[in-house]
Amino acid sequence: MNSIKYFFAQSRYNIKNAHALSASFWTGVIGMVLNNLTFFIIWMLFMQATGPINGWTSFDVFGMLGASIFCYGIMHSFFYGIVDLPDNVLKGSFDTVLLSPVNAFLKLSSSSFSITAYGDLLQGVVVMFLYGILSGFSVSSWIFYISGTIAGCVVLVCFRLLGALVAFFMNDSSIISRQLFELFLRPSLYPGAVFPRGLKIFFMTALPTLLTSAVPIYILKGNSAQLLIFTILITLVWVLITYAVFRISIRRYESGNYLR
Amino acid sequence: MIEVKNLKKYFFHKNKKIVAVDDVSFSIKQGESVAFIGPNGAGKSTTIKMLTGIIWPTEGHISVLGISPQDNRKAVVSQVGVVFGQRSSLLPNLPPSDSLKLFGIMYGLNKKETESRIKYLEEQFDLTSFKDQPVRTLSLGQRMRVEIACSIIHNPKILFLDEPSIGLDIIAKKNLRETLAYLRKEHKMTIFLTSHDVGDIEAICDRTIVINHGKVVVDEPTNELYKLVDREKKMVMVGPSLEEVLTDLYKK
Amino acid sequence: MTKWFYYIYIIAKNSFSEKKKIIFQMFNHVFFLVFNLYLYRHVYELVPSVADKLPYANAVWSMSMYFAVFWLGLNGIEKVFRQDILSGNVEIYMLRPISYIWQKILTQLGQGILPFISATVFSVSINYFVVGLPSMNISMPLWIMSLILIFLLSQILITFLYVLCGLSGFWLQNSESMYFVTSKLVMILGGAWVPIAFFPEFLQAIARFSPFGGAMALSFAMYPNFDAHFLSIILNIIFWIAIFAFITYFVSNKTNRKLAVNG
Repeated sequence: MNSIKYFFAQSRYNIKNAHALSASFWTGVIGMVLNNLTFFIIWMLFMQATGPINGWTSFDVFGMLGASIFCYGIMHSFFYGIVDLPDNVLKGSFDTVLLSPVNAFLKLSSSSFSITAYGDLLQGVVVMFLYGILSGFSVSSWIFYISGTIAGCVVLVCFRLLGALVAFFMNDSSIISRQLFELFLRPSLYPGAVFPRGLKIFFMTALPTLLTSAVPIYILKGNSAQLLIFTILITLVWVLITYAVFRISIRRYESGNYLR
Repeated sequence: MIEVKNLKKYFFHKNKKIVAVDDVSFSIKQGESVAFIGPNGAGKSTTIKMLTGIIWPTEGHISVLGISPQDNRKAVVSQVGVVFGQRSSLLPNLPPSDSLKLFGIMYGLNKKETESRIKYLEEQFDLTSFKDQPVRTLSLGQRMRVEIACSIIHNPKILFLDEPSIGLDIIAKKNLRETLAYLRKEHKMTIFLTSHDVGDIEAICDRTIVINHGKVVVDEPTNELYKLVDREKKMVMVGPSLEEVLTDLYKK
Repeated sequence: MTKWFYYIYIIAKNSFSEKKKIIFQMFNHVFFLVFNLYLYRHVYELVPSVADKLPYANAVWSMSMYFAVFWLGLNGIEKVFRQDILSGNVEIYMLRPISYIWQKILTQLGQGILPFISATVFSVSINYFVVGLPSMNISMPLWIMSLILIFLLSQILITFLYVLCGLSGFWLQNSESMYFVTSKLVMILGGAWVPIAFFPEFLQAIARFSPFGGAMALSFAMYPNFDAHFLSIILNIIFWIAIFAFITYFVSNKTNRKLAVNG
């Protein structure tokens, strides 16, 4: 319980710490919002050229990007410490995580915060809200959309962590960790309509990147409780895998020759 | 307080066995201040990491406050404080009080306890003169005082310090040594220090353990170390400096 | 001149020692290439009319060349500037007898040359064996010579763009937002994820005549009607190189006065 209390306190202080330099904070937030607009523009132009694909319109792509940006915002706001893990392991800073009396994952995750993530969060929430309101969501639609997105957030954190845990098995792995994460992230930035069946199944199970973007829309459009349950089960499987690998990694950890 | 028996740690790198710690034994009582020193690569950091539960020994037994760090690291770390000389845990853009509050939450103190401890530490460590300034604007000496305050907010029984005076000027070092001496005297805090600064060792530590090539080579009161060196090297009037003594010991 | 190549060679040699990193980068590149190929084939099957805008082979070559060039890493120069400015290390580099900007360009080239060559080889090989050559209105030798010219000029332009982004950090403290805006404009107008042939005509014209499109003009060189636009592409790039060279010179002279250590 104390670990969770600490996690939220640290997250609160991270925001406060970032906001203390308010010009830099808001520049970063606005910069990220503009950055994200790119994907809206690209895919709107794409859908304009192709017309609706497999029942998806450009408005569905809008909703998909909202979910994706929200997942990214959650990950980088509350779990950004995972991104720094390879560098921390290299320098031996991971010791400070193990030397605190709170849960190691929560301590690690909240140890850092990305200013620009606040832009992702804000933009994600606004886009998701607009998508729901303009689509005229019913209560069940909201439940499907939000539940699917939450599952996507969890999967994104799992994969970010799995990529970072490479640091416990390889030296100087920050670039490798980033490459692994990009491998996961990139397909999620494509409209869900353009995936052939085989690729769709692959990217929903073995490499479940679509859970962070297109799957909430698949669930919504299909009004499918079965797909939602399937999504939750896949998420649970990956949570268990990530937990196991994290435990193995902690055991394997051997610091460098300085107490850092 | 701290019991170490027949501690060994081997690392394996490309099928080659590296002996980092080789049969180290010592015990430390409550209120003792001990310098744990040695040349680079001697095994100091590895030993300390085993004491705090970061890494596990290959063989041997460790007990810190009656608990095995390997079996229950959280129980150990919730009762010790740790200060790294070159690694800051403070929130850089916020005043020290925010970092202190966060540490209070981390160590499970309630709001009232945290506020009371912060007030006490601000007075005892003279933090009030800069308590509203962001940490990044503080001098190294001021930051180190805040770091130590954060590390003892939960009133630990043992304080581990790694190179706490690195980068500090003479005055800041003096202040740091006085702070640690105060903690020893008033709070009976056990201090376990690693430092390459002989001034720290002389001023703070009653006892010095020297480790080299993974083995304890000396475990004596600090003021008796000079007896261990070659008599010919002693100066007639004032005796060899501690630096000269340690240099000789490292060479052995 | 020889010493600059030698500087790049030393950095590249250091970079080559990190073999695992290069392997992972290339694995990432090939994965994305194949994924893109497969995905766009499906798009062209679902919506056959897009082939009128741009044949499938040309679309694939266009996007893959964008990402191959990306590995050269000159767009990463802004991040290097940002880190140096925020840490204060920029002062150390400015004490050397070679300009700070030039040091960083050479370092980026050294680090990026091997991934770039590997990525290009993979892109060309996979594209050739899967989709064949892009359909072109000009002869192969002429096309290849044009590619080399456009590649060299566009990389000069992209360097100026991102150097300016990085130099903005002397005023903004953190130039990341400038980087976001620039890189995303390059991404859209350079035809990264969606070829610009899919865009409305006016946007295609903006892409072709903007510095952001010019910076990734190699992707336009994969279009069937490339010969009709070759001259305008080249002149566009040269025009923007001249403009940004002047601005960079002016701004870099101002940066010395703005220098402040951020501890």
